[in-house]
Amino acid sequence: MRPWFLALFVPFLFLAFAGPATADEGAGDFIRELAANVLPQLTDPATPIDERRARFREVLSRDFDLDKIGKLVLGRHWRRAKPAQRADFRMLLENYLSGLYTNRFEDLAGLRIKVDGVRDFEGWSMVYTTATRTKGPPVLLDWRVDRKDGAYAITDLVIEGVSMVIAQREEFSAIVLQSGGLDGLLLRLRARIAG
Amino acid sequence: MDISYSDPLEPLNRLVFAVNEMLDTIVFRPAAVVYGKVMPAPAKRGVRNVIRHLSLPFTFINDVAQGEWERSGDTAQRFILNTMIGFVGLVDVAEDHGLPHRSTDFGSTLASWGVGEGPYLVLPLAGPSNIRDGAGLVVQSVADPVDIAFRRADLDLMPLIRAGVTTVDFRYRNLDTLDDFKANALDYYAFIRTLYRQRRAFEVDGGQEMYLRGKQDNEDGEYAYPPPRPDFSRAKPSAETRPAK
Repeated sequence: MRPWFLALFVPFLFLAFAGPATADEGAGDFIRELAANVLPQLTDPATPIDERRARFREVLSRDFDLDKIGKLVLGRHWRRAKPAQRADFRMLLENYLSGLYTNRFEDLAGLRIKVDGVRDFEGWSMVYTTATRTKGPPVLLDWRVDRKDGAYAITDLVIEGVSMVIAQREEFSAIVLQSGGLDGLLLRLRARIAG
Repeated sequence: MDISYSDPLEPLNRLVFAVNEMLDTIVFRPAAVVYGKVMPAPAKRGVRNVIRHLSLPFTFINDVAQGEWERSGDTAQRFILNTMIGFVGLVDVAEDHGLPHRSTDFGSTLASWGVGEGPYLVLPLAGPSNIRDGAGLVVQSVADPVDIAFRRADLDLMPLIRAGVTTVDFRYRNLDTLDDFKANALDYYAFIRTLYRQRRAFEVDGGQEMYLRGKQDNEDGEYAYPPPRPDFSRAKPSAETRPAK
């Protein structure tokens, strides 16, 4: 192929990469940074579990928007909740999530995350990534990223099409229904955290 | 309206779920643990390859029924290649030739014809499903070409053995995951229900239908199922390979 002929393709190249939708590349960089520098601190099996738990708590309050996640996870029960119940739930959720996910991070050592693309929605972005481990097939991980006090913050993680927020909402909602109210869920969460 | 998942059969479903859980505890989980310990890794790999290989004829029928011509061609090529060079599916040579395993089923075919999922349904032994996918399983149980061939050859036990091995292989591969879910779930039934439903929606149409319905029912502006994932795998390589041609 002659070199001048290549020049004809250059405009098409730009078209292909620009994509049809607008995208907040900052959100993509936020996830890239998280994957490169924060995740290894949480997954390193050599670090004692207590220290990893403390680190994850830090990440949870800094890089996640727990107020937003709490609202999304409780759904309609959030709107009916009294201020005291909301505060209680917010505290319990943080403890519950940090306990739930710290153990799971052990299996994620050596995880590599590649950003496939970013799409903007109403007030938030979705960062689409592919995660690869040393063995096993690649896993599709999509991050819902909102803004919290001007900074980026994660508000959902979608693993192979399964939204963690929706999974949690369905589960919590089942418990609220069974126990006849939000207090039943708070009781269950408190019992779980206490061990 | 509540965007939470409708489960009108919940009392019955929970009962069947409990029976399945009991069977899992005393039969399938122990069988999977033994299978994992006794079988050497290459043998497990071989079993898995054969299971997947035997699923291909029915997958091909479903590819065609869904109008997925390119995929049906890949499925056929994969089946021929692994039958001829891969010792009847024992070795997955097709994967190295750019034909990775893909699965589909009659539930997905029904979905492609516009049949909605219907209420959530827990089937005895088979576990989480819905009306549409349950119907798909019934069709598969009579229409699977490999099982039909087994029966024609008077190997009447083979379909049953095949189902058993498929179950134990699946259970083995999910030992850690399901142990984790069971230990950590606050309501294991509700957790498995949402997991199945979301995962299934993602497999069937990338979550398109679930997203649209979630949006429609979502009067309170609640966060419904996330928008379908754009297909980056197709867009990117074409952009990169174009100038090289």
